[in-house]
Amino acid sequence: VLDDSHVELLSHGHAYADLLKQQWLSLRPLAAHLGTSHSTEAVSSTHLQRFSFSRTELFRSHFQQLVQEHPRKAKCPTLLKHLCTSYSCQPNPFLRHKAPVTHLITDFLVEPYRALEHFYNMQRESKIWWMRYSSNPSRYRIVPHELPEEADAKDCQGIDIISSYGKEGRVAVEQLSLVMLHGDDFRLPDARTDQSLPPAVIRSVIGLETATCALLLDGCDHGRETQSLLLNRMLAPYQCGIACLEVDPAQAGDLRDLCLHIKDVLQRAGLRLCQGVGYALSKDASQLTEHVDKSDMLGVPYTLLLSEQTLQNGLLQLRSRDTRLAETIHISDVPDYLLNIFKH
Amino acid sequence: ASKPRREHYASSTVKIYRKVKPLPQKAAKAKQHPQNANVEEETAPEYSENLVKVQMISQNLHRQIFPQTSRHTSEEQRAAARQYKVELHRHGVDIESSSPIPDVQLKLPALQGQNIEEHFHSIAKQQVEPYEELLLPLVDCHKLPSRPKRWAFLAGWTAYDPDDGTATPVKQPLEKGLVFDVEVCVSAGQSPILATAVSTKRWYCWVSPKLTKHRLAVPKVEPCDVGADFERPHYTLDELIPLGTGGPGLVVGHNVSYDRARLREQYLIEDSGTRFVDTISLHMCVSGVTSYQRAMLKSKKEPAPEDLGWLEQSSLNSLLEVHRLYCGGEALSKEPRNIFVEGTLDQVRHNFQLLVNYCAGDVEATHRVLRVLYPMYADRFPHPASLAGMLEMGSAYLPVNSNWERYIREAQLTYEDLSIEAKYHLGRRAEEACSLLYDEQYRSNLWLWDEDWGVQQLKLKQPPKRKPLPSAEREESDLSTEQRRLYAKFQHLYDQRSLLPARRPLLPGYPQWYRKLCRKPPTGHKTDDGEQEDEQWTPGASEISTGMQIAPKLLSLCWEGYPLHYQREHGWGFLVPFRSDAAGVDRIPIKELLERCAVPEFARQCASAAESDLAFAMLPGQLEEHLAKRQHYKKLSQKQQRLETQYQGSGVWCNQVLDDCCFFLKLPHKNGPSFRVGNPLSKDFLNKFSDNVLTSGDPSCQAAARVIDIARMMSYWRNNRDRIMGQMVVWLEKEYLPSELVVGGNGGKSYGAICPQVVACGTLTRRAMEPTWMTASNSRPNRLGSELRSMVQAPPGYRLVGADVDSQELWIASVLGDAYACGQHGATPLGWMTLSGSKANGSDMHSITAKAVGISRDHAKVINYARIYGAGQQFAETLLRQFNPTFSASEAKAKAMKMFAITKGKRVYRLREEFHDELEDKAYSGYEASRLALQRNRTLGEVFHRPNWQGGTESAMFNRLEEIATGAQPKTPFLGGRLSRALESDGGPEQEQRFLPTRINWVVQSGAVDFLHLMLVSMRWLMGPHVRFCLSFHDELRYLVQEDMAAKAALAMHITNLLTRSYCVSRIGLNDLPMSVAFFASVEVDTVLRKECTMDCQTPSNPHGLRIGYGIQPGQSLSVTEAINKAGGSDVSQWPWIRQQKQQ
Repeated sequence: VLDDSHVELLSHGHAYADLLKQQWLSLRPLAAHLGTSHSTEAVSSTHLQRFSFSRTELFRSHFQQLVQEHPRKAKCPTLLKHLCTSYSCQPNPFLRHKAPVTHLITDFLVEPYRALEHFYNMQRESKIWWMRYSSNPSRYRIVPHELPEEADAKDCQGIDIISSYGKEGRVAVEQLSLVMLHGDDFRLPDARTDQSLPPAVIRSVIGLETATCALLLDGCDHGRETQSLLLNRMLAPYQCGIACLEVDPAQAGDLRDLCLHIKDVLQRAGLRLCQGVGYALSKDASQLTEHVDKSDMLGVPYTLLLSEQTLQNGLLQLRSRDTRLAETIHISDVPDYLLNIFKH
Repeated sequence: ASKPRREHYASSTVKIYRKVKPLPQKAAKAKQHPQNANVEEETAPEYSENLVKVQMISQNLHRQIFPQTSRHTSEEQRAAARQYKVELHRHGVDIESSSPIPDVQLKLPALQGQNIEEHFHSIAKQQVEPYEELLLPLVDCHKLPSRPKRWAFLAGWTAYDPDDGTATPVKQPLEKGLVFDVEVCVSAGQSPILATAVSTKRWYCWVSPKLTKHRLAVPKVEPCDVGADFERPHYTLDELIPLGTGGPGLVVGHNVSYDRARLREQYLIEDSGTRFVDTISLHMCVSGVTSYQRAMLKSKKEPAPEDLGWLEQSSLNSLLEVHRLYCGGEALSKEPRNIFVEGTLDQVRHNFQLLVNYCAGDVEATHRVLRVLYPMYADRFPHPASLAGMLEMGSAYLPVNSNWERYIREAQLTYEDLSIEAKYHLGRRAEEACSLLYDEQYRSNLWLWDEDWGVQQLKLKQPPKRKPLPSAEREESDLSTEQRRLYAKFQHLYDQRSLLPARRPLLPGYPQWYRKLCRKPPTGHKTDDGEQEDEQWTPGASEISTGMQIAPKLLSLCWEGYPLHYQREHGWGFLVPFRSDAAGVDRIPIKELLERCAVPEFARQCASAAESDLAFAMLPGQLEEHLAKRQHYKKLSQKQQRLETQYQGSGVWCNQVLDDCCFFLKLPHKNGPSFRVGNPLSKDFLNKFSDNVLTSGDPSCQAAARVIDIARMMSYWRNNRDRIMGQMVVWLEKEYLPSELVVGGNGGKSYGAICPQVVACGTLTRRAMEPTWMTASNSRPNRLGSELRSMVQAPPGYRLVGADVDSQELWIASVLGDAYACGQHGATPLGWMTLSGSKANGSDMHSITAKAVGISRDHAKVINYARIYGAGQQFAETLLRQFNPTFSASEAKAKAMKMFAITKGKRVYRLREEFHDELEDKAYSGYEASRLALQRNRTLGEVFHRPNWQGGTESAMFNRLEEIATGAQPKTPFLGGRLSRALESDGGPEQEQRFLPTRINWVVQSGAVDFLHLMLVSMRWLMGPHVRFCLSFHDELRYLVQEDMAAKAALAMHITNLLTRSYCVSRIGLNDLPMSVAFFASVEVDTVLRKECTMDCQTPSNPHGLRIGYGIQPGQSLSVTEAINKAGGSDVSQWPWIRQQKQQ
């Protein structure tokens, strides 16, 4: 946390943010992805702009890009995605990330007569998306956004997806706005009837850094006695750790080799391991506990525990951050068993 | 203004009614609306009141409604009134306290007949006549035309010549009076497959094109857009049976609303004029039973001797049973029915002749039943309004549009979202609980101590002694040397895979209860073939749900502060410790239990207002069950007494002691103490109790509170969704819509309708029954899907107009008492409180009882209604304890006793004349009376008259109700309809006593049904064909009206209230009507069906409310004055169709 209640993500945080961005990209896969732009203007720093984006040059050029580069997708309903880096941040009294920030923007162009229905579906879809990554899905709420006076309620509506912490803390992780377009500037054919009409736009804006902070906060705010950081296992920057208890110095070398081997197997399977050497050796039980507690605090969902016995029969322990229990698995289960866990 | 007037009462003989100055605001209004000037004689507003200062309708209305009675009071009446006032004062009624209501000027159409009673008889007669003309020939028809030998397999209607059986295709039956039956092939959807009908002239058969499809080319219909994402059945008019429009038609059937829902013209926005006579309804009217009796009829047990009498007089509702009861003879064969229920269309085709004959057999049976039953009905329900009301009730019509499908979609999605959320929380709690395994911490956990914490280990088999292990293979490619070296080094570990057990244990190292919640992970990760089926697998407690036994434990749920516990035999309950030492206690964590339960939490709780609402909503059902049952009382055991001193909550004693350290008490079940609660997170359970009773014992765990909340939210949808999603919506193609709807461009909307399957008289009290709409609750913010009713939406250009009759039953009960005891409105305390009491100044009935007994007004209200519906002191006690867990048994008893003494009064006995010589003629208490009778070796009834109630606010009412209810042939006070044969006692006084509460209840409720039927008749008279009946439930009435007629319909509703109440009071000997009940408080003119026109119906599935979420604006709520203004003036006699009627 910096002064002025600004926050900044450090390297682990950026890794986390990156994963969030990946998830966003794979959500609604049919979208036309229009790349990254840099914007000096605020995305929605004032109320009005939240609903007037359709008048910006950027939106116009994106629309052209859609029609020209993706002619098959240029029908209602369709989706556009782009990223935008900006130096002004959305107002958020509780969490304010240092500039520059990245906005993940999805524009959903839909038939105007079903706009409300789409809008509500999208709200629900987005809310569930957030809930899936959370340690407490009940913290998300859809809160109507008060319209500026000059806006016509028939033409635009907005909601924020709010994540709450305790009594006070509220962070808007995503903004959804519905704007009806009029006139002939933007027209798309209706996929069903082929009739050309001015679409309604549902725009989703996610402040990547803010959202990342919100999710990190979410991982800490769970009311458990332990200090685990309950990060979602799909998003966790480090999915797996390796720890080893060596009592007999004679076997230290073999154990180290085994650690190295398993680390290698996991890495080749595409699992994200803790940084550094990738494994930890402990001299005694208390040191091991200390290590595991630290992993919990880092939000590592699983730790593989090796011991001298593993050298005999290949059995090792898969310890879970969430249950704090370990299950016995065999070395031949690695990495498939873990891949299964992280696939779902 | 009161003092001089009071002196008038004492001396003057003339002046009681008088004109007062017009109220200033009223005068101003009149000026603003010059159109009011066209009222022929502009009379000044006036004020009238009766002898006990209840404001009466003004002279201008009185003249029109009670034309032959002048308002005149005699000296005796005034003398009596002085007595009434003393009595009123004694009960805390201040008759000066009411404030005047502005006068209403109206010119009503002329009454048809000499007085209001004749009027209703004559208009009802007019309304039913065209239908009676069609019905009576059927009733009188001794012999139906003979059934054709062979049925033609032709799509559509075929008529059969009565003489030679020749089949002729027809568009629709040629006669308008039919006995009719439809069959549906369940596996092929709800649309009709075949139908037969018979008139007095010939037989008809209808066959669906679906059945003959392999011969006929049926054009495929493009479905309207009602949300293609969901695979929902989609019905159109073309699948339904045409009966034709134009002029009155009459269809008789058994449970005819089911058949009606499959008739094409019923779905058109214009009423087709066809009406339906339901033999189930007729049967219920003549021989209906209570729920207790129904259970007896269903049970296979040998009936008790005292039940034999009524068992002969009634039956269950199926055609088979009803036919047996009225016609006797051989039982109908119902076997072919199974083909419709379980078979396919092909099977129906193959058995066509058999099945049509079966269907025709039912038609014949229905006709035989009708022939016997209708004359009985007509005899027992002589007033034409009863039949008129029944016909109207059977024509309910609910317009819907695309929003209906959207509603179902949103409710279903929200439901799924919430279940996932709840499941997720439970999963988290399960994970968290796992760590209790360390150091056996679970032993001191109050919820999880009795779970199976056993752990399995993964063990390797013994390696074979001589043979080497088979080498585990691996695809190796582009590995570095180092990688290769490590693989080689640990190859022997990989080789040991073959020593793993063939069936790998799931999650070795985890406790058994947790493993039960997990699924085996998919095997063979590398092959993508299994992807589909494995897609659902997730690590962790994926199989958990709120319905599982572990769920309440994981959430650490407490009941009144005590931890929940499950026993197979008793279901869910909770643990109450009775020992303060832990010595010798093996399993139960008694130390922790004592720590937690030292100060019972429940001692501080009290029922919330929301809970009173719920109790109120559930009251009728609860009472119905309660009244008919005979209660048993058990002696308290010693142990139980020990408990009673310690614990006074709502748990149920079941004589269980665990580990000799605590009691196990069952959670209370809504159906009574003998039932076990299977899931504390289920619907009925959650709604019955306030938020504080069922809580999480772990205050830091927000998840538990959230899961309870979610369970509350989901319960409504879970319990109703099948019925709601099963509603048969028929969508109207463009050509069937009024041209305004098509031309205006409907923005992609579709329109359709539901014909709710109402049994017009479905209960003992002749109330209509229907499982979805008539039990639909009003929308509540925390009930998913409860916006149901508001999804009935008038098409553009139409309005839903309707109102709720203000405290209908209370008024009926009280006016019966007033008329009987005093012949004066408001002269009994109950009467006065009902008419002139107000909540605002605490002079209404509920406030006064609440004050007198020392409970909240909300609670008093529930108990007051319970009492008026016939519940006894015992029931009041139960309610009191339910509302206030802090009341001890004796306290609740005392309060209930006090309440009954104040309200119902004391029961007193009067000597029969022949004993006047030997005993003093005075009021004896029940105890004294039975002693005196015993001394004389006679029964109570031989020495004394039937006892009377005395001294309570409601004594007069109860005396009147009991008098009606104990008569040999009880009749409803307004329309003279008789009680069901099953309850008319001919089994002597014991029998009489047994069903007395039910009969008392019947007087009021059946009176309310009369009231409703009268309203239906009056509305039809006032509005003619300009309103379409939409729905009525209890005291609520709604019509579908074209927009330009909406204001007139609203005014007609107000006038209907005025005339109906006037009729009712006239029937019981009063010739005047209090102003406070003359008109509805308001009539709603709205576009959707909802309780109040401003309700936004926000629910979890409609989070934005109707206004924002669906774009539905609030409706209007019109008082009578507003309705007059909007309807274009107060002269109703000038409405064109009424003038026309007059000319004819």
